[in-house]
Amino acid sequence: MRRRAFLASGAAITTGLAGCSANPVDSGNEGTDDDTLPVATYGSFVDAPSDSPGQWIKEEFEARHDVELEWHTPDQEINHYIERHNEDAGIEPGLYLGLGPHDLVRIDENTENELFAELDGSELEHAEDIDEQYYFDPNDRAIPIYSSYCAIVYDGRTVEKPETFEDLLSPEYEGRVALANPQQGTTGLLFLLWTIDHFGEDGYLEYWEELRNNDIRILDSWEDVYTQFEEEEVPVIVSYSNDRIYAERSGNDMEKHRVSLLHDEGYADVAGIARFAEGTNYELATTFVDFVLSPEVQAVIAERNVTSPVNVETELPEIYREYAKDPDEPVLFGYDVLSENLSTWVDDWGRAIAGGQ
Amino acid sequence: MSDDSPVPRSDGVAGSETGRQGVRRVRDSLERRALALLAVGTTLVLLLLFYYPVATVLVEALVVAGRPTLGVFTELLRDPFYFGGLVRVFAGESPLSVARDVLSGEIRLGVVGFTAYQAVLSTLLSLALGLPAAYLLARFEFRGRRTLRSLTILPFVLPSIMVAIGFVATFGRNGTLNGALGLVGLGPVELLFTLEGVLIAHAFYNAPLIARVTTAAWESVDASAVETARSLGASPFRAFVDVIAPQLYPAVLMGSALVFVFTFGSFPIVLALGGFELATIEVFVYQLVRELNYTEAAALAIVELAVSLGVLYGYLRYEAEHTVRSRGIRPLSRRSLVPSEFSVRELLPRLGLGIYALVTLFVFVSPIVSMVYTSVTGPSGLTLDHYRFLVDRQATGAAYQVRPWPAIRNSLLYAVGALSLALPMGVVVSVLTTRRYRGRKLVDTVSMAPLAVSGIIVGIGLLRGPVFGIEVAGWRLSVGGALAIVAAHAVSCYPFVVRTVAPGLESIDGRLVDSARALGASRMRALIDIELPLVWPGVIAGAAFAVAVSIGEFSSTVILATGTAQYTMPVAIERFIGRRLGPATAMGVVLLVVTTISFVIIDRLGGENTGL
Repeated sequence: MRRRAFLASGAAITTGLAGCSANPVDSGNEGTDDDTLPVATYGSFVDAPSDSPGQWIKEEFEARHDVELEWHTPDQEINHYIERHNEDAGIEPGLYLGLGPHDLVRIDENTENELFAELDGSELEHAEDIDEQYYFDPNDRAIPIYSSYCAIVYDGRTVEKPETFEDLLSPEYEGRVALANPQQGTTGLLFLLWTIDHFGEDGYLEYWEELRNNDIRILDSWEDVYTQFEEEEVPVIVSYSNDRIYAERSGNDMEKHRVSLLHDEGYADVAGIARFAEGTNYELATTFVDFVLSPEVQAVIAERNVTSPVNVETELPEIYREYAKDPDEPVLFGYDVLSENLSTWVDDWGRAIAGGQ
Repeated sequence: MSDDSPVPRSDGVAGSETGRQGVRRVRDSLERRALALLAVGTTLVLLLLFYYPVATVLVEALVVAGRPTLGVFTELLRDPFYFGGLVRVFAGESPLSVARDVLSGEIRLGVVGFTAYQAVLSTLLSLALGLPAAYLLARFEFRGRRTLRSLTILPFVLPSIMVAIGFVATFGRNGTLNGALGLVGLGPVELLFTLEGVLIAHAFYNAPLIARVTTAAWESVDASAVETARSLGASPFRAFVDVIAPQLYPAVLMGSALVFVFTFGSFPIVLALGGFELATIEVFVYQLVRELNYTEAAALAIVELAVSLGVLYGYLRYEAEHTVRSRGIRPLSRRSLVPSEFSVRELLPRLGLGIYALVTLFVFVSPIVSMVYTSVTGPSGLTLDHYRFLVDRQATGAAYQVRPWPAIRNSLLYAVGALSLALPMGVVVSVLTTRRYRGRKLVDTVSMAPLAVSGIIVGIGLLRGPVFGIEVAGWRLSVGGALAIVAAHAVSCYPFVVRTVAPGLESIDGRLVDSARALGASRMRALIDIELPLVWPGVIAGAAFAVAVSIGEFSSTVILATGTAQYTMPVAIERFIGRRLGPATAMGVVLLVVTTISFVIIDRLGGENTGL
């Protein structure tokens, strides 16, 4: 009897699969009317297990402007929209929040006509308060909204503070440093770019080979790296300079969470917001960008995202004065340099480090 | 739609001969159509949600700038980074001299070579850890044996991020293993970040698979054949080698072929525990896809597919030639774990099993226990905070956030849906591939493709095809959300059903079906009433694997889910991971509990006489 039932249900479901949807072709912007603003971003901006700014932003923006803010978080992040754009499948959100310079480079290499449109700074009230150094898009599509710095986090109870890149090559750190794969994880990529800035195009691979000889652990993702740090498997990791703010908040041992800015530098991880060219509601999109740039919202994003604001007028909470570490010298490759070299650098790195033994 | 629902038999009611024949004719034609309909439905689902989407991505390696080309491949095959010494073989050098150079360490294996090498080693280790479990489960009787048997499959569903956490806690510098070794004055051993560590993790995932399919085969060995051999004077050992072992080889080889394919395409766990220096092909497929370099990604994925399907084809050819016909229905009697007398013959196997139990304690139990332990510890000792997080998130989470209960509910719904699709699909494909015609092994191999294609390639294909939709006459038709996820899960797990059901169907004495057909039963009727009951253990095994694969599936799910409303437990775990391990591990424990209950239920529903 059971056998018959499953055969029957299977057949039923197979035919029931006609649960498809059909829309007229030019329906990329369905649902974007005057009272809804769909915004795309990466998952942890709205849904991190600790705290994420997305929820507060949505509630606050809706209360102030009497519109509905919809978060979209496709797993493939910006690649999802590049695909949609290239397949002419229509793009629903009006904005993308959380683009880095390397994302822009990838977008421009892989899209024909414009995925993003220009954002006119003169229409933004807060644009002039943004620290110049954070602007990374020469074509004015992406406006910076927050930054953080790639830095070394080390366990002060068990190892000495590494002060320089060369320190990481010493026997003390052999097999005790971990970072995320630069091909997949943001922190790993930032660190790779940082070494290229420091050692130059001709010297960085040599440095990495020495790191490899010192048994550096290149793991899949920043999460894997942090897991090994938490479990005291490795005492030194490549992470973010604001690590101690987080540690203080979650009641971790502050001796375990120490930050080192090698050479007093830190590679800047700047995230921007950009407007999809297909978006229809220009005014609402501009309103939202301005909202995100306002000092009050900048402070909330910084606090809940454990990042730094880009608006110089922002007043940060007390904890920042005590625990935030900003480098004297932020390092950041501009868009032009990256668009010339990024994929070559990453590929060369991969070929030098992956063995295939 | 219930073409195959049985028409009630007119028992005892005197009807005219022709009337009865009429009824039978209608019924037969319905049943005949049922099989055909199922076959058409299966083909459609496979085409729509697998072959066509995947082809749209793979074709990028063959058609560049609108022109067909093999240039991408020739380029790839000349690249020592991927093919190491093989490049020289392709260039016409003697394989022997190249092999010498590789063995002497003069030239590298290349990424593809290394991937194959670690997959072979992983398969061997999975066999070493899986076969003793099969021996224990098939040949000994003890309390909780069936539960243990149904739980062997558990490691199979754990997301790699969980396994990584468990492995760091077990095999890390300060892990349980080094703690235990320290107690007896040994160690410490460094297993993380070595090839050995990756192999153990692969065995953690795959030894259960070997154990499961071998147990099934062992439990279906007909006792009378062994008794005959013994009565003719064969020693127990001879009886094992000559009678039992030949019936186990196909299952062991099938398990090995599958494990090779899985570990050959392994991705996150390799980097999480081994590091980038041990990167496999799949790591580069992912990277290339991320860079949107589909041409090269597709070329690599085709190489991957070719190797995996080659191995599967080789196995299927072997299986076809080594089918043992007419299986018995009286399994071997199991022995008690407590020795009946103190003789070497009684004690030796049990001593071996004792040592094996110690090994499994570290390889399988400890990582899972560590995970559970992590979920109840915080910065200041034991705590239930992480579970409180789950409850809070459930209560206050917004619509665009992942909440635990919908994740649990979706996982179960998708598993049930995928199961009810994959079982008929698998059975139909099994029937189609066990018929006699030329090239059926090729068809069989191609139907195994869902096991062998890179997950990310399937994901991108699904995105471009069903999710974005196809333009037809000014309308864009798209399939997204729950239905698409169920179908995608069914596609990825139906090959397991085929592999557990087809060998059984193959070994059924064809005369049984012929007699039934001669007596007027339709093909469908013969399948349902005669063949399936005979291979029921295989069907149940297939069902368990299908549920496991569906619950553990990640890459298609995240791509097909149109919103957080469709997320599953593995996706929730991935979302909950951050600077603290607690919330994710708590969700991992929820996944463990839910799947444990599911497997026990499947096992109980399967009936006592089953082989799995």
